[in-house]
Amino acid sequence: MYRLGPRPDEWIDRSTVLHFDFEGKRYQGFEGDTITSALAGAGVAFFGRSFKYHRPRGILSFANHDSNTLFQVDGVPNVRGDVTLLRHGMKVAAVNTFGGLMGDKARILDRFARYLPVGFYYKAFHSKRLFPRWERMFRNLTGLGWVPLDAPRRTTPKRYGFCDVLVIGGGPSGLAAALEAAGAGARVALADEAFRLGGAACTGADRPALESMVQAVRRSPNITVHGAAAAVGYYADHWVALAEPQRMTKMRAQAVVFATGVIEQPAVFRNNDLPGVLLASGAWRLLSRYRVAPGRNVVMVAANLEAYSMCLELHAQGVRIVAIVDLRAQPEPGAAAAECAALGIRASRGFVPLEAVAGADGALAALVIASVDESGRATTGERRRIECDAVLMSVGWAAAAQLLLQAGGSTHFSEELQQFVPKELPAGIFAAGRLNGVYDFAARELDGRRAGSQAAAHAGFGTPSSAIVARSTRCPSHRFPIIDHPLAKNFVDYDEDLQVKDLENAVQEGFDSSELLKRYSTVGMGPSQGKHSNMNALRVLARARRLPIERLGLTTSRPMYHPVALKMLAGRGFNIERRTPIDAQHRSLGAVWMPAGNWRRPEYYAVSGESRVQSIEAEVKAVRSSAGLIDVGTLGKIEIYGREAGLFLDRVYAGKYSDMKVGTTRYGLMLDESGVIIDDGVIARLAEEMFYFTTTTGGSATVFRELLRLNALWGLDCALVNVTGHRGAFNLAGPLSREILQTLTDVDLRDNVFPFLGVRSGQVAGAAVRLLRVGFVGELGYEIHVPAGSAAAVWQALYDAGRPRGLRPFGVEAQRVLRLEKGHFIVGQDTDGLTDPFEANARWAVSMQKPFFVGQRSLKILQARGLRQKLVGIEILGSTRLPKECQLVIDGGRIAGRVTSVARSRTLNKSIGLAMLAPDLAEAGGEIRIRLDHGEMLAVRIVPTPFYDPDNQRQRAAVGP
Amino acid sequence: MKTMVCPLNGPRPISEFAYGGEVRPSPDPNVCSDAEWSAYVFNRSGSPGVKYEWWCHIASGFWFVALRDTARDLVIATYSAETVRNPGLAPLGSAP
Amino acid sequence: MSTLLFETLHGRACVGLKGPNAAEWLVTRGVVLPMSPNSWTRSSTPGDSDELLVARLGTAEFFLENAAEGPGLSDLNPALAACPPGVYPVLREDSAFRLSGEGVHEALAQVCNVHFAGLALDPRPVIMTLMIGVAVLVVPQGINNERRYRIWCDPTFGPSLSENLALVVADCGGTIREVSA
Repeated sequence: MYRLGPRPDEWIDRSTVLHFDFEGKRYQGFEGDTITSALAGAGVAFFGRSFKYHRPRGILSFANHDSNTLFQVDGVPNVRGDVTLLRHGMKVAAVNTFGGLMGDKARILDRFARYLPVGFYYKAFHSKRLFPRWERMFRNLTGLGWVPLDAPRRTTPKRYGFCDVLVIGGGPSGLAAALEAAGAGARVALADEAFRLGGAACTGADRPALESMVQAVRRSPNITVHGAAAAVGYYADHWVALAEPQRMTKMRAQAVVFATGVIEQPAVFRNNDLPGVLLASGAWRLLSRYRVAPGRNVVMVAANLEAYSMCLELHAQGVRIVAIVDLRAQPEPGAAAAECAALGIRASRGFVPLEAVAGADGALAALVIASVDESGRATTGERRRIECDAVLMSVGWAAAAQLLLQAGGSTHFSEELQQFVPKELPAGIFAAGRLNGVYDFAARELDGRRAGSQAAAHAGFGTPSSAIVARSTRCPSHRFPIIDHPLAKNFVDYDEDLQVKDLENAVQEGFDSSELLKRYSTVGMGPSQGKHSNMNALRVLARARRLPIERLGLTTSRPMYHPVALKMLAGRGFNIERRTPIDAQHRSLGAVWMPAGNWRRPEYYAVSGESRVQSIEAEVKAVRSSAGLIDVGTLGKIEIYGREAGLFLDRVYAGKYSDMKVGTTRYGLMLDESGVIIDDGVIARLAEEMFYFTTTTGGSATVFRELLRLNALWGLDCALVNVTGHRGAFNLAGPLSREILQTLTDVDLRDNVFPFLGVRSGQVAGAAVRLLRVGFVGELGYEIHVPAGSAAAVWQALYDAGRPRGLRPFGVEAQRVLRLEKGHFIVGQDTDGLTDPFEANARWAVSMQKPFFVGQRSLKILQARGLRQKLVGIEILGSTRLPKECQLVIDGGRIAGRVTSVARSRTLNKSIGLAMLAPDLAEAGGEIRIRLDHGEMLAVRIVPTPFYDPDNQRQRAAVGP
Repeated sequence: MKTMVCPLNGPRPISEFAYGGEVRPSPDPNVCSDAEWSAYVFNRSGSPGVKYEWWCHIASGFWFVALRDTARDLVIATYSAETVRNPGLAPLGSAP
Repeated sequence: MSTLLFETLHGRACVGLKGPNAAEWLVTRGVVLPMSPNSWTRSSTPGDSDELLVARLGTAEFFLENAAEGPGLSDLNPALAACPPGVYPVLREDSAFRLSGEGVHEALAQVCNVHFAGLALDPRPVIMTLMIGVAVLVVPQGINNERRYRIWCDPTFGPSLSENLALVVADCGGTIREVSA
């Protein structure tokens, strides 16, 4: 290959020279070159090594339809050289080599090809003892590219796009569809994967018409062009993923026109994978866009009119065509053939390529052709050898229908066109152009207009065209461009190194449907996903099964159409976190953060000179001896108003609330319909028709949503308000809590006026608050609920008032120890998806006498059935080993339960925990054994709860420390 | 990404909604047998077909009922939640 | 067109209410209400030159905000606290933002799947949707070529949402600002 002189419509800018490295050697290209075109322009012949046999490879499609041109670029694996722009200073290397492209040590595998037939790995490496060794070998040998483990995180944006009509494909029919739809008033998005509009090959005569359509599209205010944007997947309701080089657009359309065209298919003959053998359309792109000629002595393997048009194009550029090898015996009727003859280009009709021959340097040196008989088979008759340095293949096309199929369209195989064409399309989906079997340029434009008009009408703009554009009458694709050879190496799938005999062997073994053949042989499973191989594989299958192609059908098409880097799908990696209004104060107090659901909460507060364990123990001690302050703003907080508010609560919670006095609180246990505990909280009655209640941190969103549903279902006279994020809440707990709080509030905190479990409204530090006396940590304490805007000031006032009295802020870890000392369960930790109130010792929270509540009927059944497990308290005496949560209780060889919570309690000077246990073992005073890490057994004793202050005196009234 | 037409907020991507299960009337817990109650609590209809379903538009907290053909994933009509206890009500919206 | 600007607005007072008598109660207090579901209007309370933004969320919930610092809501709040029958207060301590300027739709398209550019301004629509998964209330304002988007969300999501939006705005070449009332 070599670079020709400049032309005005080339895609490169020769004034900017770019230097780059390939396999350690310095090369240069131009601004606008892709990696592949730059290498080709520099005369590089070898681009990579094939997947299995490590055969040398060159350009095949130059359209990102094969994996010969995947490269490792600047630490990024599997960069697709055909469609990636060259940058100055790039370091490019081939993938899949050992010791570099030219010295690849694995190239010896090509000699052992006969020992590596299709599916060999299923048969050879099944020895269990040896498999780890084979696995290691395979992991080193296979795969493409390598991932540098120190690669920096690079994020790319994702965005949503919106349009009325999406046109996929910027060739003549796509351009026409876009113009027509825009003319009807629709907002059109036109996406094409190439850097410029215009589509694939176009003869000189049609170029002006094409160019004027491109200009019209660019001028139209209703058309937004998405260039270098590949439509990689179709999703429900016309949602299409467009992958651009540095971002992804998720485009929603009301109607979609598929003008995706056709994909050129290779001829299959011995050594058709030699560097120098490539598809004619690839050669056209190299020539017209990047001014790279495929060779100095070019042979065209032909079976259609396009081949002859291409020869004229090459000839006009000064490239020598030494021969045309036409697979067909009949002469090509198109005018281009006559012109070729007039130019003296020899055409051998009724001849097939038999074998490509490599020269000493490993690149193409000659093509051996053979004559065919009436059935198209190469006879043992006449052979000819043609010296050449490039073989172009123009034998046919396959419909690029993958996205259309993902959209729910169906296709059928047209024998006349030797191509799959659309059959039935769902509403809002339209197809035009060569995808639709329309090949003539003027007809493609008409077909595009027809589809664009129908798409616009579907989206509500204009009236739909009723034109019917006839499909092509000439057949552009050879029905069987596959030439058998006893020495094989005639590749059907270049990505997977599959020869004709590999597919025939698979069929012989019984893998004889398209889907089975694909999975056993891996045809179509490489990076190009069958773009250049599925059609020929189907032909081989059809011949082997002696069935028409229509009977066999295509494999299922799934996103993504092209490989898409995961970073494009990940996008910016937005991270949303909920924070309470006290977030800044926590930070300044040295909070060590922990995630709690989607919140961040202080695990504990780091104090210099204290270890984590010491800080947590000091926080616990402060609560038990003076006072502690914890931010419980993550709790769900809900208000319910209305005449039937109490009745609603009676139905959704297990206890009774409609009879609460104003100014009191009550524990609430929430069950699901099967009687299982799903949430808990505290319910406060603030007025006759107003309750204020809390949920767990993790449950707030789902509980509220379900309560809204029940309210909508029952239609009671009440309304729910979710104030979870709009109110802050703290728990000020400890023997000195009352004293501290009284200095700041107008509410009378004396026991006889504001008893345990009461609720009062008032002011703290000038802000309106609700004060609840709760018993979660087992000390005298107040939960202070305040609007979020005032929360920081109230926290600060409490902290400043409490500090001189020994108050410490405490975090989640300390709170867990404190509540465990009181034997309180945490829903979802000590209870699981099957725990009912009886098992959790929460029968007291259930009022079975109510007419109805969620879970009631199930509880009746469970009550009659009896317990299957029971939550008990355990203590671990005299041992420094602690069990972990979820470690199992083993009794007589059976699993009899598990530890649910465990902690060292300095307050009690022993280690305590909760465990779910089989009821027959759950006797206070009994001993059970827990299996620790590494199988060691630990004996623990069952004890009653609460562990601390069993009579619950401390939380009721001020008691001395 | 499917589009759901919320009767209150208009057409939105399905990610803006939470699915609340099929609308299933409960047997009267006071008179039904244990077996009938268990079947209601634990069994669901998995077969494809036209079903009434609970849907919630998350951002607005609006619950409604959609009549959906689960085999073709097409919403035929939407109804207010009130329809569940008052079946005679007209739909809020219908598929074209 | 001005440059892309993302502002966090502090000190705006807002209030919400719902209930069977909420609409009537607001009307008797001289507040002009938007009539269609999910729409907004500007209203003044009598004896006040300050404007109130009044949004109808869904069919029967209301959201009011002072247009600027001032006593606009100072009458309503104590009256609400007195618990009028059938009028239920909805505590709103929302984080408040404003997104405006050139490229505002590109920025919005990176975080939200609603086609804001295609929305007509005249019906004064109110949009409740998800932005990066966070429930938000959006009110489009301004005129067609100079649109401003008011955005409110739960205050516990506010700081995190604002950090992520700021990433997008900065990447689109915009400015980030804090505005005190």
